[in-house]
Amino acid sequence: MNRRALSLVFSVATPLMLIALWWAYVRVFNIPRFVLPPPGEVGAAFVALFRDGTIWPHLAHTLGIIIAGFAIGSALGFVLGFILAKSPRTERIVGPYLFFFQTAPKIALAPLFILWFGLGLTSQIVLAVSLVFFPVMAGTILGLRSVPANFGFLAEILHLSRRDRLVRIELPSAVPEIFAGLKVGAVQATIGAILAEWLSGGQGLGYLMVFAGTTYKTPMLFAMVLVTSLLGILIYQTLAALEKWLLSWR
Amino acid sequence: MLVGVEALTKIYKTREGQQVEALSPVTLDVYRGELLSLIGPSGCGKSTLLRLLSGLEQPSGGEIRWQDGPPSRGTDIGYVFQEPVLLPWLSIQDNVRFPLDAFGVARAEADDRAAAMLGLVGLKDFGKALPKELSGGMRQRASIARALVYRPRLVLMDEPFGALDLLTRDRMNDELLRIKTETQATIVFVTHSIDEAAYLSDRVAVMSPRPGRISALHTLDLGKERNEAIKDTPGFHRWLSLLRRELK
Repeated sequence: MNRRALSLVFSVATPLMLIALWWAYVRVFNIPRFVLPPPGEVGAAFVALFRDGTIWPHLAHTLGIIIAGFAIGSALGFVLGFILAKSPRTERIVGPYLFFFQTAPKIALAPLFILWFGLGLTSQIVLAVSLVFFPVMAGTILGLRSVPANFGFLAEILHLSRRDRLVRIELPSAVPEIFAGLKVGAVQATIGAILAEWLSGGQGLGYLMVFAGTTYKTPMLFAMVLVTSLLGILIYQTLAALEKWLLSWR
Repeated sequence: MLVGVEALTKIYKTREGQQVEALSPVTLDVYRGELLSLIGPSGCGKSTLLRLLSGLEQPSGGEIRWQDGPPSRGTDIGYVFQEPVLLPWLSIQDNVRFPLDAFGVARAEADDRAAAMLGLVGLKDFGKALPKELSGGMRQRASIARALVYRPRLVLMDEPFGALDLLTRDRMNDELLRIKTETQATIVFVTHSIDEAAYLSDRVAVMSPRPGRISALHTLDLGKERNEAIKDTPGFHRWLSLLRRELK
């Protein structure tokens, strides 16, 4: 058997084996279903979520927050990163505050956002934005700072205007690092959106998880974890595919 | 004459505030259509002189006089670095036409000129390739094409073949002679290879360090038509040994 077939077998067999172990554990030790439901029930709950349409409005709500949070956070992160990369003096002044804010656990700040922006959509988006902007900013700074010095000489020899220099050399050169930031940011947006719904509001995947948890619908809770993980993977893969296409020159 | 360099000096300040004289007064004329080599050990100021000519750096004293008026923004100087410095996200063709795009040359004309230049450097079939797909020698050809595509008045080359293996280097030297004949370009060429300088140059300026200055200036009587054959002539070897002595 060649390597490829072997890895294919493993990629199918491993999850099957884990599910089998899970099933056997629940069965042998007679675990109550509100503590750990058997895989079959989780699967049924997963299918039910989509079949009876419960999930759609919540999924749409969460996606809305992810997209809004990601868009605003990325734009903010890019602009801030650009300013800080171009002006070391600004970075010396503003940088420490930004890093301080970044190291503060966002879950602790979330109640504050609710206080400031209310229980609605705004505070949820703000939380997602607060998680997205930093990786994008860091990627932008890194990208613009690591433009090879040689490219700068080339720009000087050709007397490129500041704008041409930026658009034709610096930004394309920074794309790999900016994209690395965007990929992290997208995953953070997903986490932020679900966390925000968990804490406030009556809609979204996060809310549905709270609902399932507090009403002891454990199979549904597990199904929700599966849904959010799949959503995160989907978002990451979409960006990765976009990156692969944009950065085919690497 | 194309450019006159008069009593050009360059003084750098070190971080401790000491002054280092990188170039003590250098006077030198560059003639139209010639290949002038600057040769010397490291620290002799040959790269400094090149950077002053390019306008990348400003002289501490002296003057650079251009026969036909001062160089206009960007378009009058071509520069070939030791590394190819190609933009990795652009195809070879787009790299070559990069200056034309930046200077706002019309699309159709830029296409034609880039294609012609690719043909001249022997990369006709590689326009669509990415830089990473080409060998070091081919990348340097593309970089030469980029420096020549806007027909600069003066082409400066800073050890352009220094990073290539010996065989590729020999081939590139022949290519450069051919390109120079076809384009009539004026080239100032920095190298630390005596063989390369003697083979390529119409004139050789020998430089010596501390402080950087021109210690000898020779016009090589090896003819306009150069090829491998002259490397076996006594005349060529006389120049080699003379230059080697002067560099000691």
